[in-house]
Amino acid sequence: MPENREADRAAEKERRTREKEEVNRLFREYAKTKDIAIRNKLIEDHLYIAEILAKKYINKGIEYDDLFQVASIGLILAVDRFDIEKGFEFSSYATPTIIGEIKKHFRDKGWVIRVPRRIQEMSKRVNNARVSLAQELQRVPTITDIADYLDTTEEEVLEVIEASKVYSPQSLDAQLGTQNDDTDVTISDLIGEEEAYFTKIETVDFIQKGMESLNEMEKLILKHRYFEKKTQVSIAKELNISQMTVSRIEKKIMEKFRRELELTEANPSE
Amino acid sequence: MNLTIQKHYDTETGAWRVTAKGDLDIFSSNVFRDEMLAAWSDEKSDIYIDGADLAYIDSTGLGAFISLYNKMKQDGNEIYLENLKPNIQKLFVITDLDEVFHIGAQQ
Amino acid sequence: MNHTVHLRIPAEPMYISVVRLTASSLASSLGFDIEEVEDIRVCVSEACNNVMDRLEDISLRFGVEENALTIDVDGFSSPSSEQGKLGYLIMSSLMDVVQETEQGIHMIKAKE
Repeated sequence: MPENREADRAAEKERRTREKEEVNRLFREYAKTKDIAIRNKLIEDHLYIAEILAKKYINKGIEYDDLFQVASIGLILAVDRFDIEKGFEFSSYATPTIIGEIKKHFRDKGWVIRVPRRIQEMSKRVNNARVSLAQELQRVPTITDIADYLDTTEEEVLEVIEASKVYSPQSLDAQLGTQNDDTDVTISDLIGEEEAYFTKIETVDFIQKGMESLNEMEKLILKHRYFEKKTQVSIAKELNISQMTVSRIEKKIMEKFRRELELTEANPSE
Repeated sequence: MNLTIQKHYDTETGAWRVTAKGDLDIFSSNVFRDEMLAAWSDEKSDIYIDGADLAYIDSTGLGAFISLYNKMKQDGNEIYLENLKPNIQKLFVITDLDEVFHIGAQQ
Repeated sequence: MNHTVHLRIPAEPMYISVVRLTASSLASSLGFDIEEVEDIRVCVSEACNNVMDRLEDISLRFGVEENALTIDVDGFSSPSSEQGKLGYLIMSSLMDVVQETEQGIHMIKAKE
């Protein structure tokens, strides 16, 4: 019966208007009294916005719980700063505020949010290829395998892997299975191990000391590999040496750091 | 119609070459699907679509491709989409359809 | 003060392009970049696609907020078809906030 539907719709509209008025009233009162109870009610009622937005930023290197917490902080900021007299809607106001906080969080952690689309898409394809090929070949696929499978160049595959590593929290030594891959101890392992003994300053000190014993080539490779996160292949190309050589030099660097560590342990009063 | 379709069957490579210009939306998607289906029924082969001038697509356009592909795959034929604009390619990625269709050389 | 742009079209596919045109014109003038304008165009169309077969008219409202654009489409209902779900997935991915209300759908795109 059309009349009932009309009545229903009118009732709905009434309810919605009343809801909006209630929210506006609460904001006005909060502005006047700064009553925590009202603030909490406003936050609670709009927590769904923080949830929705936090979900949009998962799989970019930061855990959901972390994201939700940051989003909630953004929401609280928005509740505190919202000026009802301006005549805008709160949810529309809160959204850019919360997004701003989330993005700031990514920046603070050193990650870049705007992963270039090309990288995102390729990254997806590389990962899928990795899985398919692993099944097909019954071994860890190499860069070459993946490049062939995706009908692209090794360069492209490497670039994408490296780039996507930058956008996610990986340890310094995260590797795709390359043909020359081995599971040697790396700098990060050493540092991680000793975190219990060293403070951050001491770690930097340790690295600097360790670097003193490196020759120019080794320093260069350390810089490229761990601070610029380049692959062995690209470093090899750049320095015009073989990947094997890069790998061997890396091992030497590890040795030198290991020795440095032993020295530091033997003489703790540094 | 806000969509222009040009197609010809390439006998040398044994595939359909299609150019779609304009918007693939709720207004044009069904016609597009039906026209492609008719063509493919005539000559069953892979279909290559040049999207250089494809200005717009949404779920209705994607749905058209899906319907088309569902018929084609029974005969082992594939759909290749080339020269898609970045925003359009993005939609295929979001919906995981980039794993169903072959998406090639981007603009 | 926020402004609202009302748009009402007959629920016929041929008028969807009018909605897109209005949406992109508005979004552009509000300072959204090219990609965002494209996203908004797609989402507003998707919302209309959802409503198309069920109503005679499609009513939309564009809300011009301080740092965001909101889009409300009346009559939107949770999709049940595969294609409808695809549309909803696209909307949720491209817009910042997508919320089903009793009236229809409410979407927010923040200006960044």
